[in-house]
Amino acid sequence: MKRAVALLLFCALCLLCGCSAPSYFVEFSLSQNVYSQGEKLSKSEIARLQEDISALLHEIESQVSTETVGSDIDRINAAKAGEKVYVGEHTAAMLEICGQLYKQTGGAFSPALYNLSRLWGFTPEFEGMYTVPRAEPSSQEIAEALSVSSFDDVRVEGNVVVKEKDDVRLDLGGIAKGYMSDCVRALIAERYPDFSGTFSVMSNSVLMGQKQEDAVGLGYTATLENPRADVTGGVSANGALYFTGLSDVAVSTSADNYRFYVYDGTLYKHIIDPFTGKPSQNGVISITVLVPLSQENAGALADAYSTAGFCMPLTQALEFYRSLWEEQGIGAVVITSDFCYDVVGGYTVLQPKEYAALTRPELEDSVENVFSLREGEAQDEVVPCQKEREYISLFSQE
Amino acid sequence: MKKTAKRVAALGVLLAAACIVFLIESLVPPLLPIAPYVKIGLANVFVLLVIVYFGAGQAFLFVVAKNLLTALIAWSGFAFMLNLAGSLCAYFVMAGLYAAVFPRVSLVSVSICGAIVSNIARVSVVVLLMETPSLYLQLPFVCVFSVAAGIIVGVLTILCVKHLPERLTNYK
Amino acid sequence: MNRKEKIECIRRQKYFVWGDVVVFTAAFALVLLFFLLSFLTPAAQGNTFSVLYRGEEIFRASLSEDAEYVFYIEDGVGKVSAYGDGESYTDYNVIRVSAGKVSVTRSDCTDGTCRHFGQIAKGDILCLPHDLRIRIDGDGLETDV
Repeated sequence: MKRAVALLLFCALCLLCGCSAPSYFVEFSLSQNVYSQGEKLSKSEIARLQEDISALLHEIESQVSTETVGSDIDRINAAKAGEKVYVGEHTAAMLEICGQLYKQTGGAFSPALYNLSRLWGFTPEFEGMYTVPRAEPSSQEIAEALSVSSFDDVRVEGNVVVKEKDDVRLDLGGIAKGYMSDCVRALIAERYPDFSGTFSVMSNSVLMGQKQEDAVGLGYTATLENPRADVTGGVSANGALYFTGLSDVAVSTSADNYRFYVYDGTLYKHIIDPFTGKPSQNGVISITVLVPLSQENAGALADAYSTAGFCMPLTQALEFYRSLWEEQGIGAVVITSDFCYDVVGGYTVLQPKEYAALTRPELEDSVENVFSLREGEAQDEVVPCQKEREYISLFSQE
Repeated sequence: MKKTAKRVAALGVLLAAACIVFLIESLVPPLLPIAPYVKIGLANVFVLLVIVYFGAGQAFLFVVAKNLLTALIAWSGFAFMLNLAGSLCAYFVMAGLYAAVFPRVSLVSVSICGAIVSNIARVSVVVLLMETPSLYLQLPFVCVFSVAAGIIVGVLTILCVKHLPERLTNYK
Repeated sequence: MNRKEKIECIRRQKYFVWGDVVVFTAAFALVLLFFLLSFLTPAAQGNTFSVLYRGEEIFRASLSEDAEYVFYIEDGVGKVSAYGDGESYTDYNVIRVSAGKVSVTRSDCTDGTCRHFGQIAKGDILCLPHDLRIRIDGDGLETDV
């Protein structure tokens, strides 16, 4: 009897600990200083909001994960040609956005690259082995995978998906996080009018409203992470560039240092070019896209546009971003392997030293400017600079 | 009937004593600069006594009552949270260990474990509220202090049990 | 063992039992563990400190010059200014910087724990009643996301 009581007590304790930490697959962070109509939200309101957000993300993840058996995407990937697959609302919404983006980018953004990702060893089943140097697959294997990697072979009508080829497989990784941030924004907007605060899911952030309690007067600020922190950056290795004066914007970064491997002096990144069937090799190492929240699906657009620019020649990518700026006020920053960067649009982009001068003048001397604004026109041929070669050789020593 | 009345009376006395001791203890400033927010937790002497004499169920009500009463007298939002977290954690650990492992370990050990968990809980509440993980640097010192506090509380409790007259403790 | 037997056991027992060795070694291991983990804990060490009220940064100053500041709350807004003896404040904490360290010397908070933090060169000082945090800044540049 006593033992039973003791056991019960310990279980209660564990449950208490367990309940307070909701389990979710996707890591996210909501800033602690969030406001609705000028009033700061209390800690308990924030905690409740975080729980609801994690439940929402869990729901979306369970529909679109390629790993979860029985998820919508898993069933689509396993289906035969002609088979009708019924999918949930999130999957349907994402696929519709994908369809629009596929057309708009001329195929540079494609959600049908699962086969190619798997061929090159970047799908989640290779977790832990992404960086293992490996030889390229044969051109025949690439051609075979390419033949079943076209989104044109997938028909989406409402919530019914039908494939025209058995082996076409989808991977919504290039848009999922952005879509999640859009859903979270909708959830928050429904509950709290005039919301001001920031929300991040991995490399996707949504900056809502205006920055409150802005002592420095710089509005929302964002760091563009340094993809070459291993060989540059010194003291402030994290920031390559800094955005200031932001408000009501979705920011998304794609870079080549998330999943990659180096073989024979070449860096193979996880972003696959749908035209060549190989990891993108256009000289770009990082793209950040900023989409105003007045755009529908701002987060999903930012996520997708930031990968699309890897799959075109550099000049074409910059042209693409310029047209986005003119038509929709979307900004972009493209960093290339010659350690130059181009800025498209009117967002304020500062070098580390400039940003330090504004916020922490005493650190100005100790931070490093890693990349330099490109002078002159960009060329499709990008010559990697010395530091880039150094970076690659870091991983070649296996 | 008589036994129940006696029991309630005895619990009431213990509760009052616990509150008084707690309030006296709160007047003493934090002893160590390297570990603020830790307490010796003398009120846990009474919690442990209730666990021993009246069982874990009564002790839970006792802990809740103690926290509510002291909050009424000396209201301070964050202090209430700290004390609640600390008391509840101490209660769960001590009641659990007492039921499960006693008498293979002494009451002193039960009290030590209670003190450690209680103080870690208190520091954690502060860290969570103010987002200052740097406070966790103090955890080793918090632990050492808690062991000492646990020994004191345990010894006091044992003294009480040993020397209180038989008829008072005879199934109150 | 029921209740009475246990009470009898306490009566007769010495203060320490062999089983205690397990508890003491566990406690010792815990202390070691926390000590090792403390090397992984973020506690910045830098040349400036910030004052945060309700989680927002309202003031920043250098640690290299000795100075005295007073933090006070006026109409729900936290402010920091140089400390002058003649003034009277409500809800205040006096922050002193000396020899590269920061400490709270006087305050009128209900708690008083802030005064007992001592002088710090890294980490934080907290005053919970005033929702005040004094933090030593690290070397990096910070942004919202």
